[in-house]
Amino acid sequence: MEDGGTNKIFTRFFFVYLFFLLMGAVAVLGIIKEQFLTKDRVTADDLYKEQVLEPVRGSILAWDGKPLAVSIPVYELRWDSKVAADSVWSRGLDSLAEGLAGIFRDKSAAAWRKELSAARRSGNRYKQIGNRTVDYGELSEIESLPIFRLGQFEGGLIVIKDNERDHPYGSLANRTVGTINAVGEGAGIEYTYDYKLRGEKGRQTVHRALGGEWLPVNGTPAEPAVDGVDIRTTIDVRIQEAAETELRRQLAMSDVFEGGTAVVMDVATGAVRGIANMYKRRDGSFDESYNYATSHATEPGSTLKLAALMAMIEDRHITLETPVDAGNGVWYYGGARITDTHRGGYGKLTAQEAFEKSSNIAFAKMITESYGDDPSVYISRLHNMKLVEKLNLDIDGEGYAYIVSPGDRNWSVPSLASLGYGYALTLTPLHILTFYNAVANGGKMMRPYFIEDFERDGIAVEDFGPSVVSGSICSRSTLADVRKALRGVVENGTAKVCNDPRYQIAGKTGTAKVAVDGRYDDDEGYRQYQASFAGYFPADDPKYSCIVVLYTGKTKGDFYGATWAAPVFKRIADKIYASHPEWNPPVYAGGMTPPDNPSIASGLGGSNGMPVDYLPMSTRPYLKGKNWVRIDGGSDGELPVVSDLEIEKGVVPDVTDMGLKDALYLLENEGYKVRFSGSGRVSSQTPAAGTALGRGQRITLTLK
Amino acid sequence: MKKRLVQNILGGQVLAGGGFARHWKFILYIFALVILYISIHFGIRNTMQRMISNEDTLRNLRSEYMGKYTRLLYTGKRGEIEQLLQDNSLDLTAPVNPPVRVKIEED
Repeated sequence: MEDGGTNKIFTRFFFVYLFFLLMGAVAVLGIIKEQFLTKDRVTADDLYKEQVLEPVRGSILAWDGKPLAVSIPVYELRWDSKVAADSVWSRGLDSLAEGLAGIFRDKSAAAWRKELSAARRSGNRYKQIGNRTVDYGELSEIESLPIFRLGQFEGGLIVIKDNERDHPYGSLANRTVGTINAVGEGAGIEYTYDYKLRGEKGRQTVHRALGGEWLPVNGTPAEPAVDGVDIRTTIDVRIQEAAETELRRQLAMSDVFEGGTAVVMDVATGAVRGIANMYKRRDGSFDESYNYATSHATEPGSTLKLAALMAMIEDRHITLETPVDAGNGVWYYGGARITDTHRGGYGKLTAQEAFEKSSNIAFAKMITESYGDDPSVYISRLHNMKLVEKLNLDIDGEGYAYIVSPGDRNWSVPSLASLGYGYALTLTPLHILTFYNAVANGGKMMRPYFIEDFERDGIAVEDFGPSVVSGSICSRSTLADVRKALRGVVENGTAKVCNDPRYQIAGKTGTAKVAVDGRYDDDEGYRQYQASFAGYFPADDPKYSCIVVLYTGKTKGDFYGATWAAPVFKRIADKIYASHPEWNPPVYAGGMTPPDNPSIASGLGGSNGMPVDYLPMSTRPYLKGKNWVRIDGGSDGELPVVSDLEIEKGVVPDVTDMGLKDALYLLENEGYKVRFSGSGRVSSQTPAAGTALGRGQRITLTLK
Repeated sequence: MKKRLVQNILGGQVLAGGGFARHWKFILYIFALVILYISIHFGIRNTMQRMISNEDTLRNLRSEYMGKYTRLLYTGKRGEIEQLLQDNSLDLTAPVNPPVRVKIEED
């Protein structure tokens, strides 16, 4: 009986066992079939693949770190109008239309309703939503709207992600920031430093996990992508905007203008703080498609009388008091007719007066009398003053500076006289500004530069900064004389429009005719002008130098630097003056403390330049290197007190009065889970500070 | 001999043999190690998934921040502010004199 029962159990067990064995065999056969017999079987390629990791293109930053060009993801929105069910459609249309009107702000909710309904009636399966791409914030809002919140397969919203180069300040510094297209053509910093900005692609092998997600094999990429560096330029957004606005305003005053440029330079370093270039397009508007400032080398005209004056004083041919007869306004030298604009001529002048009134005849006479015996001495002097030095700019497209010299094919007898008042040589506006900047900088000529450094995460990885072209372009006494003469131009001469009781400007006007096919006037009496003003301010302690050059098309009118370029300079200088606090000495509060000290949050104290370093308090502990600090008091006139915050393993630290960023960082690093509500600073925490609490436990913060 | 071995394995008699009985602690230990290995493997996979998801969230938040930041920068341009003042007929004008720093001396 017992044996019979055992056999029965064994038999049943055998069949169960056999069943599982057969199932196993079926599974194995299934695997063999999938792996070896099925055509579209799962291969290694389905489970593993090489993935290219795209780097983030570096940003181009202003001097203070604000972005001028930055890559941000944008989203193009399309809509498959046939996807949504009729009930969903009729229920959600009104709210959807109102939501889209609120986000795009280009048309009313009624117009949106009409447009969406029309698309659905016509069965459009790829309807564009909105007249532009949207950023992530807007996408989140759109994805929460009725119908669209159901996703692509029930609501029909199709989201296409792309990366866009965003310019937060619009077209500001457009030419300097530059562009680059898909085939690598472009201009400005985007083009010149593309190799630094674009970064390096990475790659990684990923495998498909059970849930269908692709995960990197071994956890980390074999070759991580290296993001491009950020490039911090010398551009000061406020100065750049002032230069662009005022230049554009002036160019709009006459249809004759073909373009113009305005450049502002930091005197001590040569950093270009603002550079505006306006080029007239066919439709009459202006854009920055041509870099006059760095590329357009022309005969500068009277702004170069500064170099002639400096050379003659330095070589002791004249002083500022040397008399010169400018005659009746017309003088012939070597067969060339030289004129002054003043009807009847200036008559007898001192050298300083000749400079202030910008007499061509006086300068032609002085320069020919000084260097007539050997013009090459004057040419050498101009070279010694680094006037035509190649500037080796850190952006592409530097124009070629050139002086006609004895022995050249273009040299003739009148050439020396022409050099005296700014002809027979070609210079870019930036060359002229560099020279004026040297005068403002005590004779030290700085190389103009546009790039401060390359950065990663705000830390400089490659510095550029100032460099000296010449330690001294002339003697101190000569420098004092030419600075006096430049100031005289504004006080008594052609640039009185720049005279201001609040701060002093020094500079020189320039009006040059532009040679077209070797002629300054055509047969019909038309000519082209280049009106300019170069100078610096404040004259007694220069901080900024600036040049403004306006170029006309063919005209029979007169376009003088004094009347067209100098006012632009003045308006730019006014804006810089009114927005920078460095002009006046600080006001001392006479030992007073503020009536109510600011309430300072506790938190991480180890970083440099913590605001607490600059605030009045009873004790000023050495914060650098310290980890966490408590800051107590600071309200009702009392001074805040800083103390170390002790952090013990397994004990809840006191995070009250911290900002959420610091509190989260501290608690999560101690292994706690954090939940919070409210906004502002931490007003209470549960469990309270000092409570023993193991890792992984939850702490709740209330912010107020 | 072979038939007997197969019978022992299929019939489960092998479990009652002396070898398993003697080494059951070691077999249990190996079994625990296998379970631990599988758990860690899945734990790592889940962590990696969370990491990727968090990185994605961070990227999206950064995008949102940059989008808002750039819009605010544009709005904060001096020219834009002046235009807004004009559009809203406010009689505020641009400053003519520079700001002055006030230095507070410490006790």
